[in-house]
Amino acid sequence: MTQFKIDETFRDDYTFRNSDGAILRFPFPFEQDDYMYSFNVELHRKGGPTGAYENYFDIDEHYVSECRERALVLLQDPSRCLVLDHMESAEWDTLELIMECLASDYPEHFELHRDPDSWRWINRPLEIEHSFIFGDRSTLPCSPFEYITRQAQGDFLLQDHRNNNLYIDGGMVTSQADWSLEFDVGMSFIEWHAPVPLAHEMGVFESAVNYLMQMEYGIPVRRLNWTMTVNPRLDTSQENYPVWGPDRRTITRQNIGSKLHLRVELQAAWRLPRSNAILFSVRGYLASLDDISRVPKWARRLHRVIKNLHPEIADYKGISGYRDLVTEHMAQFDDGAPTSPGTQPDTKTLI
Amino acid sequence: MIFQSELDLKVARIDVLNETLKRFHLVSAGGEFLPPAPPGSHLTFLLNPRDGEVIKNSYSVVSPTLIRDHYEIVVRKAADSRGGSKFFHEDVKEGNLLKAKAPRSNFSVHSLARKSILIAGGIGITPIISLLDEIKRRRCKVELHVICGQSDRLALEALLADEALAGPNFYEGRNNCSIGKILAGQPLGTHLYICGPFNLMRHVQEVAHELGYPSSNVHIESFGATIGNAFNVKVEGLNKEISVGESESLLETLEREGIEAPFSCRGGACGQCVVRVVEGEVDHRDFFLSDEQRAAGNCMTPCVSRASGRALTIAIK
Repeated sequence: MTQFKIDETFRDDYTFRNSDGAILRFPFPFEQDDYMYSFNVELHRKGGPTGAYENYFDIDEHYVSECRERALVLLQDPSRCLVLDHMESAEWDTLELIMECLASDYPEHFELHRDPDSWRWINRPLEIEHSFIFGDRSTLPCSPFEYITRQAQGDFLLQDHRNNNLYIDGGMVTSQADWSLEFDVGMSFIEWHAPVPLAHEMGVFESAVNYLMQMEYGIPVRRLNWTMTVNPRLDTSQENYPVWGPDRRTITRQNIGSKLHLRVELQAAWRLPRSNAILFSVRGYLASLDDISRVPKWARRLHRVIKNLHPEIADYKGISGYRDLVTEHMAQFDDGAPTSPGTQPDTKTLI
Repeated sequence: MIFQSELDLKVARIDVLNETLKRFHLVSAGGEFLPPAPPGSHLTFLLNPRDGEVIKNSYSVVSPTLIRDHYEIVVRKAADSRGGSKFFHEDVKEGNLLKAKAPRSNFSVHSLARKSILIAGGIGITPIISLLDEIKRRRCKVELHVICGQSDRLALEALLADEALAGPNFYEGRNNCSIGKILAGQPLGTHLYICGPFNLMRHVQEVAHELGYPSSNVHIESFGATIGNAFNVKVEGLNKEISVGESESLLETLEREGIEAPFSCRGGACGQCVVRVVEGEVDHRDFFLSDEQRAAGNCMTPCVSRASGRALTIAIK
């Protein structure tokens, strides 16, 4: 049973830390010693190279603290949760999906009772117990999408499927890697991804949109994305760039190990049944370079990936300013030994 | 649960609607909740009318999409039955167990429709019923037009009784219904949903096109749709010939036959499942292979692509 760390912070004094168990279950993103954009999609089934893949919606030791951080962001900026009016059916689909998965995967923490007239939802870690009528938003304290995504880790996007295209018509986005939901909402999939370099020429997004449009419900898929973040800060939004952007210039040889974090997004796409919309869940994980260097395979590989990273990708991910420092720091963990294919840690204990 | 792909269903009740129509109430054999049935969805049953014979028949789910404790389907006993509807009408009894694939829909509600017009031909009413349920929950303006034979009218009206729709329009026979009249003068942003005989669907599409409806506003559900033609495949080195059915992919067939084949995305995008084509023409349906690779004709993605002819010979890496 997960022991929650209930008072971690992701701002100001940054008390977020990973336990040894959390490091070993980290979804390390690099399959091999170099990195390029690819259509790295697989079925989102239970199970994978680390513990982060064990359930459909992963709940870990940071759950309670991440939900509190989300509430803080929303208090300061309610526009981080936006859903266009025509997506209400997708909102209920999302609530049903997440409640059903959490209650079935973590019965010690969550319960869902469907009585004939009303549903009863129990969330023990957040001390919530609420009865409501499915389909009647007046029986919830806020919209169904906001209600359930305030109780889940990671960001969520709703994509409407119409006119043979996908539109980003809603989201709960409080921990994004430098983009803005309020700016992007309503855009088509291709418009939304316009800033990404190289991948358009490779045709990645056209493949992706065609692939997503033929997805069937009940068969979710997943992929990983990554970037780097200075300090364990979840809210690296475009809106707040003045708050966190300057931190990029605070990395030094002395502080890089504890201050710089590899940030991984385990992204899953779910066809929703009644709305025919697609829910996109972006579950973020942070691990400091110190955390990564406790797993020898990951440390060697991170060194090689960053050293050889295409400069345009490094620029887009915002890491060019400290890239040389990362390479220099991680070199001490790279003895040149070969690494095994795949992302699993190849160890049960940390060094 | 939502993620079941194959369902064990128990027939809880059978209602006789008229001489050729029966409604079946199906519950999960284990008593748990069933996956949600999307609007316009169908269940594909794997039926065993006789030992050693499996037939696949699809029937629309007519129960409201919010209901998770049972599905309802309506089966017409077809005069030219391949065995499926005859089996449902003559052999299936209350308490029997049936196997089905989880409900799937190729008919979905357009989220920005200003108004929806539903047109059903005969038993084509069945996928329209759950579509209507979803459209009404979205509080979208809607009209329903049903064209049917005189003998079916009472039974189909009764099917719609629960829907409490103001004035479904019934027409006894095609000649009594002018599609042009229904479609003309509708507001911009009107969407059409049609299910029925092929000729009716084609006619509505043509009239809609003439009246200036954008093709993206016309949605049709062809009953019993298949993915493609059936074909035979030889797998090099295995000395075995397998048959790919109309409603399964080559990858699914390989898996069914116990032949190990790699895969990842199962949607023609990642390229993990690519196999070598030794002989035969391929109908490429993936987003992965380049034009040059297609032209060379020596590889394919078995998850979505098929034979364009009757036979293929492939080699698995």
